[in-house]
Amino acid sequence: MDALERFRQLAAWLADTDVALLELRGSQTLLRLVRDGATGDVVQEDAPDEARPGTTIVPAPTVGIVRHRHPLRDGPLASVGARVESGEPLALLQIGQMLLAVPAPRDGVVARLLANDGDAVGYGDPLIELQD
Amino acid sequence: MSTHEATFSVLGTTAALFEAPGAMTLAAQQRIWALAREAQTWPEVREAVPGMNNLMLTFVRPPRHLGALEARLRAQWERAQPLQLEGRVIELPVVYGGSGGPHMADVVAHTGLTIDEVVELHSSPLYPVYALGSHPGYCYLGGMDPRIATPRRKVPVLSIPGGAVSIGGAQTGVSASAGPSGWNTIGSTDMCFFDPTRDPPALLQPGDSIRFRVEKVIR
Amino acid sequence: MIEILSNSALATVQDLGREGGLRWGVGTSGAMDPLALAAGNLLLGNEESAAGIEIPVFPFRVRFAEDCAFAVTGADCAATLDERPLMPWSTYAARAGQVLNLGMPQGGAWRAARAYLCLAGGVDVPCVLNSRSTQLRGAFGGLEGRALRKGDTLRAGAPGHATRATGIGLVPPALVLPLQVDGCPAMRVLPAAEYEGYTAASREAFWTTAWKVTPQSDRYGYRLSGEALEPIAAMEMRSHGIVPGVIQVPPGGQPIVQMRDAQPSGGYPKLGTVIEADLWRLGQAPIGSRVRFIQTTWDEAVAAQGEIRAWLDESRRLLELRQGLRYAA
Repeated sequence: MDALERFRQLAAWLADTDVALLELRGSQTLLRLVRDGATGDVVQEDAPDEARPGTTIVPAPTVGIVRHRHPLRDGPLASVGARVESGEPLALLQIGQMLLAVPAPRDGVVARLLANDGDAVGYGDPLIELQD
Repeated sequence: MSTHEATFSVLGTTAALFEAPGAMTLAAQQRIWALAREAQTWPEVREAVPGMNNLMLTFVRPPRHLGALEARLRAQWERAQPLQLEGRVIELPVVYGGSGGPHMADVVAHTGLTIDEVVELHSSPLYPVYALGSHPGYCYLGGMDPRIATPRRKVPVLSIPGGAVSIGGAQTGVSASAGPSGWNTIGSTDMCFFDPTRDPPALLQPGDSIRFRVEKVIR
Repeated sequence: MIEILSNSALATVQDLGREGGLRWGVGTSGAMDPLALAAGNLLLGNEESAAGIEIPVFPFRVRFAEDCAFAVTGADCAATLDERPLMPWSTYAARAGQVLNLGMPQGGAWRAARAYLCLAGGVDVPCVLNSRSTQLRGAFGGLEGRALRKGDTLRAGAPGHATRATGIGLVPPALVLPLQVDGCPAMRVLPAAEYEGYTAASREAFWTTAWKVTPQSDRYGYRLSGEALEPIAAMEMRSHGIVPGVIQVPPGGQPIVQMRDAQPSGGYPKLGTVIEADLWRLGQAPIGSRVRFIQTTWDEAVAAQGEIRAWLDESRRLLELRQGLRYAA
């Protein structure tokens, strides 16, 4: 599904709600969807995990259940403080019996785990914060 | 095991086993061949594999209703006429005794016969091929003279070579390739029993017969 | 193309088995854990039945002579690619010159005995009698009908394929379809023709005690040790066809489970047969481990076969969806 299609779908979902304004912030993007002629107070719940300076937030590349360790193994894939290389798997997303690796986009150090093991996440949800 | 009624049993969900009742005879084996030929046409059957007066049917998929398969098989057995297969006679030259027949002395000791008598009794009959099994190209033969029957060895030999001519209980056979064996090896023959590049790959099939020709006797 | 760097590893090329050869005395051979092989193939977009390498002895090292996607399934053997740790049951893209090392099978959630190295397009060896499985007794199939040796090279059927589809994995069936009794891996067994010929005490022992996998266990058969199983009376058998999973009891009373390279016919009495749907569990039981047997019915065994098929079909469905998404992105 390309970005434009995704926006259209998001807008369609919003139309069924009473939300007048939606802002989605990524590390380098801002998406704002505004209902025509809408007025109202801006309500901000659960402040998004903003990327702190010098860090990268690694988002979920798809929907799935977060797994911080491989089901066959005991140890976590990425612990806070661990140094990781670009491409190294930071976490897994489980869809049924399939597991998708979430690779580190760059070399770095794992700063924060932003989702818990077992959390259901959607596309774009923050998973890991990497210190550059 | 021989009982007065044929036995039907399963080998997991992979195969069914049908065992003919009564004494082991060539006529019964010919009826097994007929049964195999018919069962091979059934859609759930992958292979109909004759054994010694028995038949294994491997499944493409395990049938949901096993009872129906059993009934069909039993009914077909009742109808089965001995299948006269037009086979060839393959003559195998055998060197009896010597290093190729390391257990000839055990057969002599068990039977009370001389080497020459053992060789004479072993090489006289025409042996029908009842079935293939055990290893690629190996033939189960009928027709051995009971006077040279010798029990299987208590300790199997780790490896006897292809071409080894052996006696196990009341049966005789020839190995097609090197492997372990609990039988008594009395001689050896040079013959290629299996070539995967040939079609069919096995030299012999049920309905053929083997005659052992005495090439040499090493005393 | 890969080059084998290890010696004496007893590794062989196997696919899902050679069918149709029983009439010539040719057994099926094939992977001891066909689910692991099929899964590795599905991960790479191969046919389930493509040939792979079965590795029963570790460590095992290969060098990739060209870029090639691969997956290692079966036992989690702490695989590394140029020393970098890999996840089990996952796809990776190797670059030419990289060395894959399979170490000792780990404990973890599933202790298994055999690993499978699958390559994009399958291991490309000639098909003999409709299969690429190694027929050791007949010395044909696989690579020259023998175990792999140091220096052997094997070609991948489509090395450039699937190199973008890395980082995809499957949760192993040992975790998705667990079967254990008292902490031991368990296999369902259907009684065989001579089952009633054993004493009631022996039959009870067969179902209720644990059986140890002795060191004399391999692709031909698994020799188990435990209570001696006694027949009510001596049973003389005629040679008859058998299949992998058949549990024979020779004089001495210690059962032998016939495995993938077993003779296709036998003359010993049979207590039962491990059902086809569970034979992979035994094939993955390490030497020295203990297993249990569960008495089952025909209907349950057929249903179990369906479960295996469903696991494979679901894996394929999820992977195809993923590959589809990937191609569209």
